[in-house]
Amino acid sequence: MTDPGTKRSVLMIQLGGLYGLWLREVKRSFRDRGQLIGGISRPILWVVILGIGLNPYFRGEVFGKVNFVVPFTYLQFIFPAVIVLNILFTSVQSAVSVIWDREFGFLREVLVSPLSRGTILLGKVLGGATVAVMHGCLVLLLAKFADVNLTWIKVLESLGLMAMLAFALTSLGVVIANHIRSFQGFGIFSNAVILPLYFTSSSIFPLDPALTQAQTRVVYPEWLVIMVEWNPLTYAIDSLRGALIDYNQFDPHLGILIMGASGLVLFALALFEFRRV
Amino acid sequence: MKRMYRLVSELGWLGLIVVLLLLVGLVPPDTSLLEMRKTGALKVCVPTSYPPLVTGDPTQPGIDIEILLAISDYIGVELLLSPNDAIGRDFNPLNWDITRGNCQVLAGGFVDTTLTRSFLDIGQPYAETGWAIVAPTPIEYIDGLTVGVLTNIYGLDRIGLSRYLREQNVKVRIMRNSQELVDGVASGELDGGVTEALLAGKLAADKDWWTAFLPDELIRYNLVFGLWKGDLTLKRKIVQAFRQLESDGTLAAILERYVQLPKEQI
Repeated sequence: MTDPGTKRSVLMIQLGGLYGLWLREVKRSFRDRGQLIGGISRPILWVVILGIGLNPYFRGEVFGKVNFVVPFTYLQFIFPAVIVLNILFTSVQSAVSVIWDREFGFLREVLVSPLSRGTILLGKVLGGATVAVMHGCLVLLLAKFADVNLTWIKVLESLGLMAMLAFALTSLGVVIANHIRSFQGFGIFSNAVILPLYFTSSSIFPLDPALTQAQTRVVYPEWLVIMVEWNPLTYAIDSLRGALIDYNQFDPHLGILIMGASGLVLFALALFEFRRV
Repeated sequence: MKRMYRLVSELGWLGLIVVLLLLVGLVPPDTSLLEMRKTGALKVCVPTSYPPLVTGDPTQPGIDIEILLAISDYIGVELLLSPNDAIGRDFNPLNWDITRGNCQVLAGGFVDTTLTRSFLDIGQPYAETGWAIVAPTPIEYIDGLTVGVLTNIYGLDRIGLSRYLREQNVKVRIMRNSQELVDGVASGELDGGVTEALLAGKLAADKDWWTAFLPDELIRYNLVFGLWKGDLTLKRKIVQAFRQLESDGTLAAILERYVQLPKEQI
């Protein structure tokens, strides 16, 4: 029988290791200037350049004539999606550290430590998710520019949703990294996942909630509607839109449910594969 | 010392990024304010008459006109009104023929609803309104009465009102303007009149009649000015002017002069 003192010390070792791995991921991201530049260039390009560039095509010209079905401006509409884009890129790419650690032997050292595989993976995923949430927060700095009014409640709600999403996506990144052997391969493969996921998530065009299923399939080709509806990221963006601009195209609880479930499933999958490393 | 230097360097980078993003936020996202300044006028589409928001009386021009005068004064441009007698009269706003070329702001009875937001962006809310009843003497129950209904305001829930009146077995006569409503009620042909609350309050005050809000199931909405979606720089300036009017008491003084909302509810 293990005495309580030993149990406590085992727990402390695991927690200490978890903290160390988390801190390492966060510190590493601060030192990675390229990642930081990516974190600001995306919101600037998407919110400032794309948002302003397309604004004249979505604004009203004649009262009573609907150009853009969403009761918000185009900038306000894409704003939550740009936060998700920043989280998506950062989360998935932070998992590149798994390859990095494998290549340079750090992973081997950690694996022979008393830390369990679950703790090691959790530390890495939490670290990546923290960095991704921070990158999501960088977009929030442009809220005033996009005419999105932030309150403390909205910010807290958004942070919760961003954390759930970042956790699920970092786990996805680890799943991808477990299958890829080189940095180049990871870059290509992650982009092949990130961009289609983003563009088919109703991030840049709305599925009008006022329309019925049949009407939606008249406006858009059926294959596109199916892709949007089957894409889990659609519901994450929708939840964030609900939190930030009070606009939902789907049931707002669906986003939380899907993000929570995706986080658990992807982490379990990542852990399953990580145990074989 | 080395660790300290490293920490400052890392945080310095983050600080630099935050400052850069905040600076980017200062870039003007459109040319609406610049265009208005070039012409030197704030062009506003209003109904020809919708008391107490737009009266047509130069001595007491109405809430919206007085607020807009104060706003244009704050911005330093002239107020150019474009009266449009189709506003509110025709159910289909397309028939009002209001375009971006006619005006930059729409005023005189616009409320903050999803329908309004589908077409327009909105400014600061400045008063609340809803459906109200006006009659020479207090009415306890509306069931079975004959009332005149005047719905010359854009965005209030007309379908909800019609459902409520039907449920109450009210005989409805559609009125074309406030004078017709007043004449009908004064002659006894109508037991009362149902219309937007600010107008009901004004009519009640003028005629020394009784007025009350209709029940809570008929939602109340905020009165706002409509702006074209995407005219962010103009919107920001108008919101800034509104805040100034609120803080120096101008807005409260204007509302005090005109607003006589019903104090009761049936």
